[in-house]
Amino acid sequence: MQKTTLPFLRTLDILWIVLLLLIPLLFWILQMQEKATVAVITVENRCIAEISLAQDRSAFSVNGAEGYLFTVSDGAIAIVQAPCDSQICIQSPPIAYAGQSIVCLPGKLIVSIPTADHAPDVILDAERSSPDA
Amino acid sequence: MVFPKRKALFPLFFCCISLMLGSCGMPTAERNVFTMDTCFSVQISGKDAEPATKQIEERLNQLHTTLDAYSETGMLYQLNHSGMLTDNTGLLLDLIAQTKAMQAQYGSAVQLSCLPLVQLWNLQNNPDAVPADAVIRQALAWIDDTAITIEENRITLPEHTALDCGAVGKGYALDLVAEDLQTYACDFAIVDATSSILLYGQKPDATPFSIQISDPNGTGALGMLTIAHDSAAQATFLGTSNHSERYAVIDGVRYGHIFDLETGYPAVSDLATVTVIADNGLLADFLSTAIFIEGTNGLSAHLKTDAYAVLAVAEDGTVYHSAGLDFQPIGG
Repeated sequence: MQKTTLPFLRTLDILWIVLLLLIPLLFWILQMQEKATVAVITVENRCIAEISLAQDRSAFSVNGAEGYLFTVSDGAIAIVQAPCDSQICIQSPPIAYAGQSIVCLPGKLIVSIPTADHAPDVILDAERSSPDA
Repeated sequence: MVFPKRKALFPLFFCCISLMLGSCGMPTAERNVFTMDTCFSVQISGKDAEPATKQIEERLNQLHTTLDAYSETGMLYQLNHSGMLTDNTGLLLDLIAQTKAMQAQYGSAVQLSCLPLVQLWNLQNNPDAVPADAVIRQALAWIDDTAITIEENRITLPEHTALDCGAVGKGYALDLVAEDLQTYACDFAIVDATSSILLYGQKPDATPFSIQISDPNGTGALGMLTIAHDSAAQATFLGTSNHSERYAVIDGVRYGHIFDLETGYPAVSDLATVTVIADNGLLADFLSTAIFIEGTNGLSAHLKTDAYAVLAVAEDGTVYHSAGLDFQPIGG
């Protein structure tokens, strides 16, 4: 009976190829598992907190963001109290989707939901956070 | 069928591994720059990503000083208060010249000399009352960009004329940022200033840029806009105008920050939001404001041109877009 193995490949070569194909798959699976929904709060480009959006939370404060209060409701985070004059960040609707953000310019504070692989590069959102003027 | 010899596979194998490792090691930089009354979210990929980011931060801060009409250190403030300025940076001269060129081509719905009207309404400080009609008419009489004179590097304004670059300032800033990205040979960048966005180069994974268009009257998404770049140094600018960003409520009526310079009142448009996609940031900003003010009446001509692309959402939720745009509605 004639052997059906490709003439230039040995068993070990095939194992290598399979292994190389499995590595990216493994990374992809691990990355998918890490995608717990969180919001990130930064002040002056420094991350001060990661907030889980899995559980509702009534008004809470975060160390490093003095004067601000946040809430989490139905998987969305909002700023409900801010020390700035214009208070525009409080008028911003809660955010729940990857790529969305709320910005408070006077406090240089940003609440954002990190972009996931499947998320768009940019969200053009008429209702997104308003810069405090 | 002829198969390559087994040994020939090894160079191919090492090339693949090198490419994988090479793409993993491409320097990237991310920064939020708070300036020009907004937040520029900057993400860059390229061998000089970090110095490019630093240059862009300095550039934006310099532009803030140049275009600031509201604090004494601002060049524009000094011009507005003295009526004359020698612009050694050339930036203000350039912005005025470019804006005038666009007015000559696309009309004067957007004018730099709108500051008297902006200050009269004072919407950013949540006023209690609408200005009197007589005062509005007086402010309108002072709005005339043709009265701005430029001699060499000197800018002169007539009495009462004062400039505000808010309508086109961010788009102009992104034009200069794109030049910096090219100087530093960056491979990819997204600079997001909320209503003005720059997409530069090609994404590390070589896929097109994807832009989600949200429903201006709700919380969901209307669809996805896809923009592909053919070359490494290609830049696309998106300018968006709507009343959702900045507004004030007076006696229960919501007044947006975009003014109709014919009436002197905040523009009443049947468009909820307008985005212009162009190869120039100032043009994208200028036209998105002009088209928003015009409303659906003037939209068809803008949708037909090849000079830029438009995506507009009417108050009733209807989406209009140029034929050349790759826009996929949700579920469509």
